[in-house]
Amino acid sequence: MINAKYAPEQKVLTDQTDKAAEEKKYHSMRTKNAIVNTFSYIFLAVLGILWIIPIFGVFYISIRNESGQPITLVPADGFTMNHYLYLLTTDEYPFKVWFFNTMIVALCVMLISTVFVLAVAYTMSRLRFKTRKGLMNINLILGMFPGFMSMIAVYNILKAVGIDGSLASLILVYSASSGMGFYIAKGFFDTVSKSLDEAARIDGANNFKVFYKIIVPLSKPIVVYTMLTSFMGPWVDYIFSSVILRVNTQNYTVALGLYNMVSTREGMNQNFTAFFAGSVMISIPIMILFLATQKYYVSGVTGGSVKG
Amino acid sequence: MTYVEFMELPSNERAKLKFYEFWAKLGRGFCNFFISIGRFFLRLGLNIRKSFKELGYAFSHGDMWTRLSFLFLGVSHIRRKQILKGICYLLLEALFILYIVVLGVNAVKGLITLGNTEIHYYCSLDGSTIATGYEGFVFSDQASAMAFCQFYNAGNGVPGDISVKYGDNSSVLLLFGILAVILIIAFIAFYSHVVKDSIEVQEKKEAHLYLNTAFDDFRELLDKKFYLTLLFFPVLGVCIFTILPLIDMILMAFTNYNQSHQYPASLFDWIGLTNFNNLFGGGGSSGSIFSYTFFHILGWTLIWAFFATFLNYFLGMLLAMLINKKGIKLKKLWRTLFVFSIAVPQFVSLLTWNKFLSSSGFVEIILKTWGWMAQGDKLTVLDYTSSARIAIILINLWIGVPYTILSTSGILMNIPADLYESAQIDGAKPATIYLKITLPYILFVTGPYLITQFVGNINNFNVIYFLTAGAPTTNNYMNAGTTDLLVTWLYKLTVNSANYSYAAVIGIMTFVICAFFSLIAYKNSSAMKNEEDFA
Repeated sequence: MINAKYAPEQKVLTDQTDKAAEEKKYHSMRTKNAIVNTFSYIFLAVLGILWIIPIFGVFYISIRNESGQPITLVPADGFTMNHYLYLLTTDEYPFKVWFFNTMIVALCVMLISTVFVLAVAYTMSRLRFKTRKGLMNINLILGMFPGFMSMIAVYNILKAVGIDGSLASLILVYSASSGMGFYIAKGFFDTVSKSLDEAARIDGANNFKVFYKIIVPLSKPIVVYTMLTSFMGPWVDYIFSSVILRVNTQNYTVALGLYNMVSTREGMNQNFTAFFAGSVMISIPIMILFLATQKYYVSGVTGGSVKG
Repeated sequence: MTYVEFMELPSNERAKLKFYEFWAKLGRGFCNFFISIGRFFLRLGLNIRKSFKELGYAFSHGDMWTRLSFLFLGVSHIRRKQILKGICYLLLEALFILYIVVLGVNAVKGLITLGNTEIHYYCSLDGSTIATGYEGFVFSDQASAMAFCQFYNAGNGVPGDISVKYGDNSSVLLLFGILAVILIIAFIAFYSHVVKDSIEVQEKKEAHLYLNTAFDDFRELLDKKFYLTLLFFPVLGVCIFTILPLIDMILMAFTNYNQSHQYPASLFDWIGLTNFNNLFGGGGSSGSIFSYTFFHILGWTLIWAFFATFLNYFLGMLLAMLINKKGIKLKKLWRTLFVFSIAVPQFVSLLTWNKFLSSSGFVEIILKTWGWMAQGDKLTVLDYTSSARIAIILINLWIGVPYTILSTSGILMNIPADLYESAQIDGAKPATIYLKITLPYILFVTGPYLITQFVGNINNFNVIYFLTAGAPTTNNYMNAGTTDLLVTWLYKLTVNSANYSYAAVIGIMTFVICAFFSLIAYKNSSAMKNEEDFA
């Protein structure tokens, strides 16, 4: 009884001391937090600057009023935008043609690979058939071979058919095997509730309707992600285009043309700044596209890996 | 052993157990790998046997039309009013036979011999035919043809020239031979499918069951057999542009296809396992330099893949956590700042880094302007093996960390908040929360991803090729520099020195290594999947 009577009082007492201690702790935690946050900000700022400097450097070199490699920090002749104009107007390098080529290739590749990837991903995620597991295992094994291994053989095939060096062959090479990269899209489709397609099927929809009326509209992030990655491929690839296109300058893509401009010592001295001007010109559209669709990119990348 | 028993053990015992378990799992995985290959062939054999049985059944139970289908595919279908289908089958068969007669037989022969006729040189007056009276004087090398021609001209007083008759192109023969074999196998599968279908159609007709019309078949392609429609073009693309070239290249590993054995100068031929023997140290001096280069590059490739993967992972995770931390403002700005570098093409940014770091590059200029380096000195970071390797790994952070930030921030946001809340209520310190909740959670989700990254880094071509192109070079290596990875070496062997057979061997070895690590990933991820849910 006595204990019961005194118990509430004691509790009040401890409550008060607790409160004071908690307040003190709260204040110390706040200052501690502030310190930690300041350090975090400094850390982020320093690394952020490190990450931006090379990108700024690309732009900085492109506007220097000289043609070769820089020898001083500040250019002797000041700054200019002439390298950009030079690339757009010169007859020496068909930069506009390259740009146009890349645009065509990128658009075609985007179209074909998006259709392929979505088709394979939907098949593997939703449809059940005898060879499904086998196909997935074969795909896994094929993915382990280094891609460059078959490059020469691909060139031989194109040559045997007689379309080597053409833009069509480049489109084929970029998009033909794109169906193999279905994992991320499949991971995403797996997260779309199956009851939706069942409901549609009860209403009389066939698999084709389920695919393009339900799954695709619900998977906007992954569609945008697939389109974005396949569109960016031809803009940044150098190796495959150099092997496929060889010496056919008129069919070059921007990446190949620009890189070949500086691949020799002579070219390095003549076109160094022009190369960077061209790089800025192809980087800007990609950058805008990328930043505008960044949220799709994040959900695309993580969607598959989290639920995969 | 139950989980509780496991947790009661002292920590060193637990570590030991985990270690043993890991290797046991790996060993089991390896055995399973080979067992599954064996099982694949067993199943293949059983399927073939089953097919023969079914074909026998079709022959013994079929009527005249079905039996005729053994010779003329689709006759049975046409008889049962599936006319369109039957005609298609018949046409395909006719096309195949035409192909075999016109090209196929020679293609298979070519695959076996890889070409017989070598290049020939002879003396000619009109540039194409052999000079009359000298039909016997045909040479396999240009020099003796030239010498003979001069002698001939001197004797006749007419201007003669040497002409060339090109021989077989072994690489084309190899390619078309493989294509022929693939087509033959595909046709056999198609044939047995059609014949089985013939007896089925007959039996359905006899039982007065409904037979699909052409329209029904088309409708089925959008529903029950929709997978065929969806997969047709993607699979065709993979077959032509991945599988066919891959088989071509794999078979090249068993030939002597290199600079001195290539079209048009000469043929190449099957040499069995000689290239692999060279790889493991046999076969004289050329073999030993190949083997030496391979094992040194392999070592560096593994070191590179390890550091590139784990440094990227931990720095990226640290940054993602800092950006997502409570109380940090401008989250979007920070993320964008780091993600910018993804949007610049790698060949541009890496070439920029190369120009920054090489001697008389930007970094050197800055150091000299600020007086941190003597005027006469040169920046030699990329000129020495070890410093170049360290520079590559550090610059790869610049390339790779943004990707890690992108993929881990999504995961970090997905960690259930109640885990943190309950930890805070229990009075856990931030460090404890990190070690006991954040890290295990992320490792759980991204464990398989980490090993995929490791495999991806083994095959990371761009960073090395554009940053150093394998330099500094060394004479101890065969066509490679000390920072080359297996893939960049493979590229150099094919594109620069046309040493296709060795390149193919390296490709196969890279595959074996990647398969080994992927197997670990696969084993671990499937083990984790069984746990279903982490939290």
